[in-house]
Amino acid sequence: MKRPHKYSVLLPTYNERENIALVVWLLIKSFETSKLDFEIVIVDDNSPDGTQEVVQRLQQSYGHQRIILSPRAGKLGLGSAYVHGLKSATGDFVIIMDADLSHHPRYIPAFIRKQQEGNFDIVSGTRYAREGGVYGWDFKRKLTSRGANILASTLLQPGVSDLTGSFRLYRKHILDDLMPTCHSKGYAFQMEIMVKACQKGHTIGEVPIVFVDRLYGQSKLGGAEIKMFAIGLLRLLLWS
Amino acid sequence: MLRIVRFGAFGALCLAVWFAVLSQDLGQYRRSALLAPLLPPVLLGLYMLALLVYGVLTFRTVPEAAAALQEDITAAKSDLASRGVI
Repeated sequence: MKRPHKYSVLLPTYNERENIALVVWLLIKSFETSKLDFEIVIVDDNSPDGTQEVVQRLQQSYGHQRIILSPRAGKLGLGSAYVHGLKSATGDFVIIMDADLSHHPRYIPAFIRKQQEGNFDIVSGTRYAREGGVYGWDFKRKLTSRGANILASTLLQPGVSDLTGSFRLYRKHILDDLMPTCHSKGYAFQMEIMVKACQKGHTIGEVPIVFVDRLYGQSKLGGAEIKMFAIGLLRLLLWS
Repeated sequence: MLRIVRFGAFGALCLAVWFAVLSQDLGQYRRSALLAPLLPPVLLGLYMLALLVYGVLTFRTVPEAAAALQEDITAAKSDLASRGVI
């Protein structure tokens, strides 16, 4: 008899005291409604705002099997946060997403259905599909996002429409293989994973999602972010 | 094979073809032959521009998602408070 699947959600956090309980609650609701086996691995980079206290209260309420706290000494980067979290994950599938409610857990059953339909190795959430979208972005922000993705997609031919998106489902062993090899910073990090996955011949499905920006368009798009994206894109063009 | 190696090899081949063509007596077509390499990048640029225009026009703003999230947050806060988490 086939063993049922287990889904590990990796949530890197830094100063998410306000949101972490909410996103965990929504995740639990989503998984329990669909009757799926799951766990939530929270990788906290020693948040000074007390995020870990909230996580501990969540553990008391929902149990240590469902909610795993994987703390780190400080802000050590997203890629290493995922690698760290993967060590504690016991599922055969891993979901990565933002912990600030811009990614709504209600889409997770759709990701899982899509994965099963096409037996995909990876399912990526896309904001650009007809049924996808955003909220809280002005024209300029939409232009930048779409422009960057079109530039990167045309040059890299990666097989997905939303290269910088970070709401994705992976087979665990694939993420275990790919994650340590990805060293880009910022948005380019998500691009690098996808490009490498595509090159290795992994199959990728897409699911429309709506990204709700609650920081009113301030979500990390300064000169530094753009520079990291450009450098990351150049690295991928030259060295992959 | 690295992407850059493939591009480089293809680029070298195109360059060789171009030089070979230019070394011929082209008469009135010499100017076209000289400008020909500009065509692919220009066409690519126009293609990406078209994708961008279409892409931004079809990039939806979904207020319903934000409203639904607010409702979910309210429900979550209420239940979490009753569990002593917040």
